[in-house]
Parts: sequence; structure tokens; C-alpha cells
Amino acid sequence: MNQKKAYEQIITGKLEALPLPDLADAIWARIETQLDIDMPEGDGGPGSGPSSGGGWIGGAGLFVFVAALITIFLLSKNKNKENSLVLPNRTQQQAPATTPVINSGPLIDNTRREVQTSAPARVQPKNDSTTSDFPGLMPSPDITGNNPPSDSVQQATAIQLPPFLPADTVVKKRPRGVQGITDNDYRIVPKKDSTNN
Amino acid sequence: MQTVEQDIELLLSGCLANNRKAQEGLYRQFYGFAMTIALRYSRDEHDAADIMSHAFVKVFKSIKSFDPTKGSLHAWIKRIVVNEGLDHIKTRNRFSENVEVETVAEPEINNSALEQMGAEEIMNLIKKLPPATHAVFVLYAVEGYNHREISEQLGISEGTSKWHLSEARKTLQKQVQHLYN
Repeated sequence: MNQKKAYEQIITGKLEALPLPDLADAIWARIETQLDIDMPEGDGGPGSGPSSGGGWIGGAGLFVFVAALITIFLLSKNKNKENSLVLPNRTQQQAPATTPVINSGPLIDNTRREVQTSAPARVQPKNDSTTSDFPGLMPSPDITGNNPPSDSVQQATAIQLPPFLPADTVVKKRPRGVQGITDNDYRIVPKKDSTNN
Repeated sequence: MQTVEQDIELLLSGCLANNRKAQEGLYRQFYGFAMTIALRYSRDEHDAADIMSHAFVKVFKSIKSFDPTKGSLHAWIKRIVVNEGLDHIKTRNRFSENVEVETVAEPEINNSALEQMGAEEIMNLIKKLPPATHAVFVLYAVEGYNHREISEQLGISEGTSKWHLSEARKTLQKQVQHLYN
């Protein structure tokens, strides 16, 4: 800041008393127009737009909810896919006379019956062998060749799978089966049935 | 006085939320203060209105950068209006760098004659100065900046700033003498 001279102080004092033009409304109209273009109302303040705290929380919550829904959908889809991949093999172990089963629940029962009726001697002695627990995984030419195309969906799935897998490959794929079904499910049932008979 | 400050606080928080009513309230609160400054850098009322509208749009756009711990709201708004006024003058006139002086001439201006003059008369004399000289004179004689600050603001050398001030004083002296002799 400089040291003002006497005449400068007089001029400053006079200019402070300068009458103001009555342009307040006109100037505000121009300012408002410009503000409406550059920063529309409710666009920049806290609590008024998507950038506010509440908006962020809501957006994040919605995102988490949608992400959870997508995850659940994908998981269930994968589960269904796994089931459909196993089904044809299970049906292959059934006798030609029995109808193919799509649902995994009845499939277990049918498998138990099938194991009991068709090959009880093979299942019982081999408790440790993995391949013997899933005889259906070893595709037999008779079953694949003689089964009528009763279920197109099952057929399509069966076509996608390698039709004749060697025993080693089957053993490697075993952990991909339906979870919750253990070897015991196959071992216990025939014993029960055999005692009942 | 405290109520006015509280009102300004409320308006300021409304402006931070981009509330149009609060922005209008703050504008009207500072209209007289800012218009007085704008008039010093303008040739007429329309120039002053341009300076005011541009300055207040800048005020509201950059209101979040205002830090009360660094200075008052008055000082902050004044700086914006002065800068806008200087920008306005720059659009009309390029600040010449080819004239420099080491010392500023100090012609005697008749103080009693100035005392008799009205504000509008004095303002008319200042407006007749060339734009660059006008800006330097207002910055130095009215706003109280020194030559170093003016040279930084206008992007000119201190010598050029001194030259413009000398020219302003000589011209004003002649005009005042012409009016009252």
C-alpha cells in the first residue's frame, strides 16, 4: 500500500460518494441467466444433488444390491449348469426301460434303485474305488446307442460332453459332481435295500 | 452489526449450496459496495454493469474457494471486482511497455478546487484518461496499491506503472486548472 497524498484522499472520498445507478435488477437478471446456464440450481450444493452425501450412500447401496443380485443369479446359473452336466451321465447308468430323470432329487433315488437292481455285485465289494461308485460315468455303447431320444434337452447336453471318456479322465472330473452327494450315498443304500430284500 | 454478519453467514452457506435466493441476497447485500468499485474502472454504467455481472458470476462459481481465515468476504469480493474491471480495461487497451520512468512527477493539484467538485465531475475527469493510465491511477490513488503490486496485477514493469501515474497527474492537474481558473 502507498502513502496517499491529500488530493488522492479527496478523490477517494468523492468517489465513495458516487451515486449508484439503479441497475441492480437488470444486472441480477443477467447474473441469474448466466448461473442457470453454468450451474443450474440444486446442482452443486450439499444435500441437493447426486454428489451429496445421501446421494452417494443411496447410489452405493443400490450398486451393492444390484451386484448381489447378479452374483446370486450367476451362482444359481452355474449350479444349474453343473446339474445339467451331470444328469446325462446319471441317466446313462439307468436301464433302457427307465425314463430319464431331470431332477437331481429323484435321480439319487433312481440311481440307488438302479445300482441295487442292475449291478449289486459290482458296487458292494469295491468300497474304495472311485470309478465303481459312479458306474454311469463310464459310458456304455449299449446305453448311448439304444436309448430313444426321449428328452431333447438331455440329448443336447449329452452331445456337448465327450461321449466316451477313459476311466482316468472320469476320475479327474469326479470332484465336479453335485456337491453334498458323497460316496456314502451310494454305499449305504444298496446295503439297506439288500437287507430289506 | 452482528445481525448483518449473521445474515451474510446464512447467505454464504446458501450460496455454497447453490441456492439462487441466497445468491440474490448476497448480490443485493454487496451491490452498492461492488458497484462503487466497478464504476471506477468503467467509462459508463453499461461498462459497470458488465463488470458487475461477470464479477458476481465468478463470485458464485468460486464461492467454495473463499477462506474466511485468510480475509473478509468484502476484501475477497473487492479483489474479484477489481480484477474484472482491469480485464475490462485490457480488452479496450493494450498496456504499453515502451514507456518507462524512474520517478513519478508530482504536479500540484489544487485541493480546494477538488473539494468543490462533485463526485461525478471528478469521475468524468478520470474517465477521460487513456484506459491504461486510468487503471493505474485508480489502482494507485484510489485503491492504494503500490507500483510493484500494480505491475504484478497488470503485467507491466514498475517504471511503466510510474509513467502512467505521472501522465494521470499531469492530465488531471491541467483539467482542474482549466475548470477553476
